[in-house]
Formats: sequence, C-alpha cells, structure tokens
Amino acid sequence: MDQRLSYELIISEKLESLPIPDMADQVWLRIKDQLDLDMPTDDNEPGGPGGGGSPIRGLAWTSLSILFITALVAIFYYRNPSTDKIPAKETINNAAPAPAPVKIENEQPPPGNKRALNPVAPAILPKDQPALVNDDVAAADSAVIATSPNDLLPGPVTIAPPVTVQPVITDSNSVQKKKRGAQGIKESDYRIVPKKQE
Amino acid sequence: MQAIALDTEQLIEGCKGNDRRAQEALFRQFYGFAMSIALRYSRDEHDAADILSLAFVKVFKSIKNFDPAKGSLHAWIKKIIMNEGLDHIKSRSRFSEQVELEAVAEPVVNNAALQEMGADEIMEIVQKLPPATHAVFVLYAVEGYSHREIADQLSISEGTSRWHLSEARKHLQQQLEHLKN
Repeated sequence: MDQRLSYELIISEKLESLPIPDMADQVWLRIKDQLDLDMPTDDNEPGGPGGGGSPIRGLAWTSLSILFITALVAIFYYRNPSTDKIPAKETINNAAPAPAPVKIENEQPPPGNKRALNPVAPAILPKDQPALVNDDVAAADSAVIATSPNDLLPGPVTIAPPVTVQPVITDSNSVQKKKRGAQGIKESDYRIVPKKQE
Repeated sequence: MQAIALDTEQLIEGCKGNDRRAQEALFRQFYGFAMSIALRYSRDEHDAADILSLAFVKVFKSIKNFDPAKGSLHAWIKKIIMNEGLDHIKSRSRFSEQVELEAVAEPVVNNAALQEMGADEIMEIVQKLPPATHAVFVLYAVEGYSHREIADQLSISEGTSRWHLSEARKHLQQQLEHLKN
C-alpha cells in the first residue's frame, strides 16, 4: 500500500546527491544575530571573539563613558558664556521683552501677541473714568496689577463698555516708550480716586 | 575565522554553555547535511536558508534537552529541520481536509527519463509542486514516511495524504512529458 514506486526511489537517490549552495557564512550570520537577541553571551561585543568576557571590563567601559560624557557637558557649559549671565528667574519673568510701560489702548492687539491680553480684566477702563493704577504701579509687573484690583478700588467703580487693551510689559531698567494706541490720555487718568461716600 | 574541528561531544557541551565558537563549529559541521534536507521543503535556495537559520536557532535553544541515549544528533537535527520546513510550507498553504478520494488513479511516470535528468532538474520540478502536495510528496517519496505517519504529522487524514501524492505524481508526469517534448 505504502510502497514507494520505482521512480520515487530514483527521485530520492537523485536528491541525496543534490549540489549544496555555498551559503554557510550568510546563514551563520543570521543564526548568530538571532542568538544574540534570544540568548546573549556575556561578551556580546560586535566583531569580538567569543568566550571569557569579564564583567569588570564592562563596568570600566561604562564608567569611562560616563566620565567622558560628563566632561563634554562641563566643557560645553563653561565655554558658552551667554547661558551663565542670565539667571533663571529673570529669564522666566522677562520672557516677552517689551520696554514700553503698561498702557490702555483702543486698538486690537497684534495677532501673535497673546500675552498682551492676559491682564485684560483690570486694565479695561472707560475713557472718562480715573485710572486704576498710578504710575509706580504701572511700572511693576503686570501680574501684580491683575491680581489685586479690589485693593485699589475701595468703592464701587463704574465701568464703561470695554475698550480693547494692549498692556505692554516694561522692565524697570528700560526707559523707552512706544507711541501706540489712542492719543490724549494722560498719566493722571490712570490714578484711582475713590468716590466719596455720601 | 576558521572553525575548529572538534569532537562532536565537545561541541555539544560548548553549545550547551552558549559558546558561540562551538555553535558555529557545530553548524558548519552539519551544514551540508542540513541544507540538503531544507532544500527538499523549499522553493529555492533563499527559502532553504530561511528554514535552515530558523531550525538551527531552535537546535541551539533546545540542545540542553538533547539526550544521546534516545537517538543520534543527526536524526535530532533532521527532525527539527523537517518540522521547520513543514511549518514553512504550511505558512504558504492550508492543508485541506475536504479533499479525499476513495480510489486514486496512479499515473505512470517514465523512469528512464528520470534517470537521465540531473538532481537539480528534479529538485526544480519538485519545488514547483503546490505547497501541500510538495510536503506530502517529499515526506512519502523522499523521506519514506507512510500515509498514516504523514497524516499525523500534517494533521490531515490518510485519504487526503493519498490524494496529494496522486496529485504529485500527475504533476511529475506532466513535467517530464513537457521536458521530453
């Protein structure tokens, strides 16, 4: 039933004498790569000879590498003077360098100037009302102004329809003022004068 | 690097210790034998190289389980390569259980024409067989397995195994006549 026919025997004999392609090197490389992934040896260095890897040698190489990288970082840090002179705090506070003092304006802010809109609430003023802040306060950080409007307004303040504002943050060291926005508003307009209680 | 010819037992011990030099030496020692087996289950040389590389990775991973008392290393490696070859064929084709004939007509193959052909020509004809038919033909005609053993190996019925063998013979007959003409 399961006896092989004569031609099958012929085929079997022929196949046993089949010439073998010379692919041993490339097949071994594939085997080696897969074994390095699945069963890595202690000294799995690329191109290195097999056998007898020392863990101390690996530790020494790791330590040297860390020292080398640390040295590179230190050299880069000390050779770059610009990063030394600017302290971190000032960098954060002066992220938007704009030397002009805080002003209330009627214009629309520039499209990219989102920071100008942040302290909008306290800076919204009617044209006829006295200023919310005095000059000294205006020279300070705008965030301070924004957080404590009630302290500056002991009494009720009538607020007219909002006016588009573009407060410009100024550094205390800067003297430059930009001419922008509506004209004719004096600095005394910004002074807060509480209403007299009757 | 020239592989050092070592005693097979020493190589086995080295492979159990995951020594790359021992593994390479063992591979090169068995390369010719293993490749001839892999070629029977492949479509071409590159296919055979795939089968061989996967098979030897399994050999080195499981060599710790090899027991010389249960059989020779040749037979053990051959079994792994055959299984890898069959998996390779199965990945290309499903072994259908639905094809089954009660009576199979046996085609006649010209033995004389076969004798005149070279081994590489015969291999080319065998490699062109459909995957499932290829597997059954190699297991039966080349490896000498019975239809029952083939059915167990490939998870098919004996009838399906016989059908595939009949198909293989038809293909061989057609190819030989084509070459003759």
